[in-house]
Amino acid sequence: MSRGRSDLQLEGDPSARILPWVIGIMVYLAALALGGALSINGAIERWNRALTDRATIQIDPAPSAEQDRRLGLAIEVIKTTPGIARHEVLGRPALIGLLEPWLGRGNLPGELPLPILIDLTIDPAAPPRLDELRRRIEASVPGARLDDHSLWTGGLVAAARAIQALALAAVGLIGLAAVAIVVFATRAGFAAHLEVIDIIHLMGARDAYIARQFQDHFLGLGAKGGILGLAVALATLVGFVVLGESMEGPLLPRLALDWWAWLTLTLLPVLAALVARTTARATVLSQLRRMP
Amino acid sequence: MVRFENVGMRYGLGPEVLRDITLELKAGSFHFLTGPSGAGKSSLLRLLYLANRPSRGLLTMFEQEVTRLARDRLPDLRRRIGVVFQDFRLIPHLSAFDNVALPLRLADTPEAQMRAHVGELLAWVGLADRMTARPATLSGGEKQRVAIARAVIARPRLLLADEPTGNVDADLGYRLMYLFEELNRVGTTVVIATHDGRLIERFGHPVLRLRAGMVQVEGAT
Repeated sequence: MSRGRSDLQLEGDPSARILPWVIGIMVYLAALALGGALSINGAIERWNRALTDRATIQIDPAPSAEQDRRLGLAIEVIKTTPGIARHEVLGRPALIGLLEPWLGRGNLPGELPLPILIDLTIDPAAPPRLDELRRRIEASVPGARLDDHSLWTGGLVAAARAIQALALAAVGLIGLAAVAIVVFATRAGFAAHLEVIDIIHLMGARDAYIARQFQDHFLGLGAKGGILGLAVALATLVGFVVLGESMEGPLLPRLALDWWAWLTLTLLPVLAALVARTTARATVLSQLRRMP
Repeated sequence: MVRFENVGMRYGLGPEVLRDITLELKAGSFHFLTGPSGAGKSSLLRLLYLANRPSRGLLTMFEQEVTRLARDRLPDLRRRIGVVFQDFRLIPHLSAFDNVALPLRLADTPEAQMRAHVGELLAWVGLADRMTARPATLSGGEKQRVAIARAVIARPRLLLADEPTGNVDADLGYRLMYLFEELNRVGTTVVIATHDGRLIERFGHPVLRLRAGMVQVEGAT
């Protein structure tokens, strides 16, 4: 079969004008959703890296001599626990620094009793059994508690994963909507050209020859729309990145995308074109099978 | 070449439009197909150019029983058949040249060979200066000649024509009939559907006469 020829003149169809815009909008929305999902992935990794190798021992305030005794007992437990790479007892200025965001600078009375906080850095290669450490520290040191941040990070990661799943589901739904639109556009094109298709069919054209004309046409439309949508989406995402870097707010995840995330996004037009091509081909072959 | 054995045909769940057709078209034969309107000429032609399959009976074409033949094997058979439709069915956005070239392109004929053949045939039917014209700009007679050229360009083994002389003057009509006879002399089996009794009488080939969906063969086959 000769390739590259179009006997159907599909380029004059209304789909040729409208479909690139529709696919462009879909790729734009998919790129934003996917960009968000990939960015959340990075944020989760950063939270996990920052917090899963840390733990804190808190000892309730007590009179000075008692507090020193409790600190000594806690240090003893820490030193006899394998898997703790480093520990640091936070001094009073550091404790006051932690409270300042809530109480304001200079508003703490000098005699305010403060707990002891010991920051533990966990050896990631051989982490300790934190349940065992919690049991020992609470049994050995009065008023001591171990906080491994798992409650806080667990909730945060679960929320982030849920948002990520929603974003990926949105990408999937956008893909399904694109498939549905291409099916309708292909069927409309098939119906509009039925007379010519029938003539070619009766001359001995194989189904693949007729399907190729549609799939090539829709591949081009998908690619055109995909590139258009991606270009606008990349501009939007870069805008978000720049905006995120200029904002201060450590609790809010910044839109930070790794190089592979950008690369993934640039594959969207390719995916859109392939989805359009495959869908058009399958639709035409299914229509042709109804002919004798 | 073509054999009908007790063939019946209906469209969907409708009544039978062809009933108990039994006939044989030998290789190299020439037949007229005639009968009153609604007798089933178009349906018989549709069976012959494989636009439909029989609802019952056996239809053998080119030594293959097509009633139950796998669908993907039909294109090869269709390429051995040339059809001149009554309404020409030219592709409106293609030039006369490209319309005629289409069967060769479907058969993957080399471009140079295809160009030479199409140019030669269009010149032969008197359309050398109309090769680039679109069907909308051609007269009825010119369209008909393009349709005939398209039907014969790939040297079909079976040529079917539905009222091929209906839109041309008598002289051109006879010229086209001579072309069909020339093709028949080199081995092409020809079936011409026509209402024109004078044409049938003048050329004297056997006649397949259809009445109420049944066929009667007249004359030596």
